[in-house]
Amino acid sequence: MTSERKVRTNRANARASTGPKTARGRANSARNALRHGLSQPVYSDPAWSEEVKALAQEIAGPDANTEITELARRVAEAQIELRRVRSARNEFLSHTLSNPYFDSKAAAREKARVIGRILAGKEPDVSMEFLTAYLASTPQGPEKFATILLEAKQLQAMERYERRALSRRKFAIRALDEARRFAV
Amino acid sequence: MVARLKPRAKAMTSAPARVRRLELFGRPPLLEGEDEDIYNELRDRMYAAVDPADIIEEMFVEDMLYLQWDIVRLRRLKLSLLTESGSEALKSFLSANMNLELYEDIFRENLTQILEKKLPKDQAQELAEQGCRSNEADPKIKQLLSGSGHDLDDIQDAATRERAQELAQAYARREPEAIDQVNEILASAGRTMDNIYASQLTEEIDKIERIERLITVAETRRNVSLRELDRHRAVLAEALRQKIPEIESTEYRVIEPTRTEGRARRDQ
Repeated sequence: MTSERKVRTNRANARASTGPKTARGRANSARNALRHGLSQPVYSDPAWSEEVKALAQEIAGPDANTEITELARRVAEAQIELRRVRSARNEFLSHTLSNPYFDSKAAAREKARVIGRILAGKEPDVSMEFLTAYLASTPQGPEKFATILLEAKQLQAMERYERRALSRRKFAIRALDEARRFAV
Repeated sequence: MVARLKPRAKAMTSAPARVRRLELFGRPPLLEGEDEDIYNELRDRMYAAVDPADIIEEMFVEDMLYLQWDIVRLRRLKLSLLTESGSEALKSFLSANMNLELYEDIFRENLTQILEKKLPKDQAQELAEQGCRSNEADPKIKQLLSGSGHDLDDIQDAATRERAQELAQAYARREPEAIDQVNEILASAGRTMDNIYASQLTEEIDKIERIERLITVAETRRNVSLRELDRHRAVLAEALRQKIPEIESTEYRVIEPTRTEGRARRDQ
């Protein structure tokens, strides 16, 4: 059993941590949902909304009752959500793989450090040819793909969204099946 | 699940079916360099094997297709990464352990080309020859090179790297001569190919681990889709089973033939 004092402290802490306080923090936070738009519900986009409607109709079939129609809408919503996440992931991968300047974070940091030393007049003890080749080098082929998979935070976020959409769809389909079983 | 190839399943590969699928499930998740024909073949085979009976089953098939494609892609990536990093490791090892006689021709040729800018051709060739065989000519060569911004050690290193790359590529192609040469260098350094790959794997372990994890996630999701498809089918089958007695107990009305039909039958 949580003590009264602990409850009070928890409540006080919760009130103290209510998101970003500064204008900069709030501005950053406000942009979170716009990075890939996946946290926005599908209904916020008219195009996706239409897709949900069409798919729900196909799932429900003709002469569906109100309950089936509603459950079919839930399945359609989760399916479109899933499609949206997967499209975003594919687009992100295509875009990043075709970016010739993509570099790993560690390599980019190291190169910035080398450039800093050059600007400070402390050139590394290597030939200019080698130095230029090093600074212009970026990962290619499987190395590049693996680096993207390892480092891109967006991909990890998309993985979470995909998991949620799959879970939502699974339970929505189960509910629809159950409703149809009793409707027979 | 029983694999069936029915006319209906074949019809799923028709153009209208593909357009409809495109509308419902979006474009194929292909990345640059991936073959759309292979993807389409995999999709047709999956549709033929599962033979989806309704839109929900199609969703599951599309899921399995998407995830299977991702699994294949990730497995291929892992293999390429291991092969490439192994080849890089071998190249570095060969560069550091190669005898002069293995890269001497490249070293001599590159050195001659540079010296030819300062000396007549025959003198450049002779000096490069001496430079490759002993260190006695080094001071003279270094003096000649210093004016042109070249360094003898850099030229030698470049020759070593070039030959190491050639040898590593030939080894990857499993050319017998290259295999013998690499094995000889490995033996003289007391190393094996396993040592070389293992040292590189340590550097790539984070990436390999991440790929492995993604493969596991995709496999789990694919298996869940398969399981949910079976469950969905079982529910449909159960619903049909319940409906059968109702259909069987229906009283059928005998339709009397019309006068014209009856006469026509008698005439026959």
